[in-house]
Amino acid sequence: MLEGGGWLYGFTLACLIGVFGFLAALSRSRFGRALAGIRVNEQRMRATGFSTYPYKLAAFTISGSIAGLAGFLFAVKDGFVNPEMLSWHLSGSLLIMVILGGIGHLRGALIGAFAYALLQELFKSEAIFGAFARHWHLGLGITIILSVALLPKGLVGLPTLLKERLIGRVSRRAEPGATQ
Amino acid sequence: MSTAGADGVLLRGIDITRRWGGLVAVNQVHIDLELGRVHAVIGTNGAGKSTLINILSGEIPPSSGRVELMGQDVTQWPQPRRARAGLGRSYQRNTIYPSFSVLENCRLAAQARFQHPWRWWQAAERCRASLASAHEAAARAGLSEVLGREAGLLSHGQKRQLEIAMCLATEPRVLLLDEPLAGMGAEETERMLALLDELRPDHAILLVEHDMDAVFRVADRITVMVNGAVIAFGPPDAVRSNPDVQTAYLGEH
Repeated sequence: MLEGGGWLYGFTLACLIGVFGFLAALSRSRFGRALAGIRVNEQRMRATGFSTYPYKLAAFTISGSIAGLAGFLFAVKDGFVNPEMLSWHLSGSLLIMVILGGIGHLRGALIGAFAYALLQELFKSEAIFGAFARHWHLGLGITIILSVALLPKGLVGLPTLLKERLIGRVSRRAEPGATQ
Repeated sequence: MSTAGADGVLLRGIDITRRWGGLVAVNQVHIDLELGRVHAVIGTNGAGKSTLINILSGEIPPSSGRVELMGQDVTQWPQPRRARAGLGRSYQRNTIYPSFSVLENCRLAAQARFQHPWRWWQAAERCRASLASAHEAAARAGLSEVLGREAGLLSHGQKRQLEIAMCLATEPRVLLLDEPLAGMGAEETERMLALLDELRPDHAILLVEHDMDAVFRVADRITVMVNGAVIAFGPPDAVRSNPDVQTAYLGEH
């Protein structure tokens, strides 16, 4: 159906932009705000007058549809799918992408996916790591553990973290002898 | 707006009983909440006051008995439907959304009456009706100055006010308030009592509260519960001089 890599790339990019735009609008809409409320305190939402079950069902259905679209694109890319993809590895790497990028932010998932793919390519590269590239899982795993430990809010939280560190250093320099 | 029953009763609980296994938490309680009146329910811890509120608001079903909202039997209605029909409640613990702004807390509550979840392309703030309700509720609860502040950063008293504001944003006719004065200072208590006075004319209010001075000042009717059963009911003066109440509850002061 889609001949040539360029075609598929363009189509996938269009899907990404479309889904991202849809989800961005959705999370700002009344539906999205209600979901945010349900995440924090479902009981209170029910007491306020929201029947929360249909909201949760709709959210589940939408996320399932988007995952289905992603699966379709994946199948088109490789030309085949096999039952091995049902193992937890692929689901696990999706979770890692989200955690790496930052949970609770739409752009976190996007940044995380790019970061994960780039890191994977980096550690697989024999030009950089030589023979160690055969053990790329190790390098990738350690990097992810480090990033979770150092960036609890994911890559999305990196700018604020850097800003706080910088301001902290400046204010410490501004009052010399305060601690020593 | 739906009309009240001929006698002005907006919410009526009829012979409400709730059993937890062998324990009877609420035993054959009858309660009428009338428009323009604050009805306080007092009793020691474990007397069944919170269970009663949970049954009236629809959070848990009664083992037997009926709940009528504006003359209509709502015993089988789930809680969200009762809430949309004009039954608002506040919680003993703070149930605000700490990471949202004060205005967003109120707006989200007000949104319950204008849900339209399928309008995914329209930003929530574009709904003028819910925004207007939110502003009004915040103003009534005395929070106009802090609309933009993150709710989690408010003082304890302001959080309790926000709890009430979120309740008001849904524009209820009946208010079930579970210990709104808990942990409040003297000044904050005064402000809350003034707010209750202001809400009284166009609401039917159920007040569960431990602060006896406040209860006897603000309540029009008082129900005294001991071990799940009502032992006294009436205007404050009658309840205060009731010998059963004095031995069971007030005498222990």
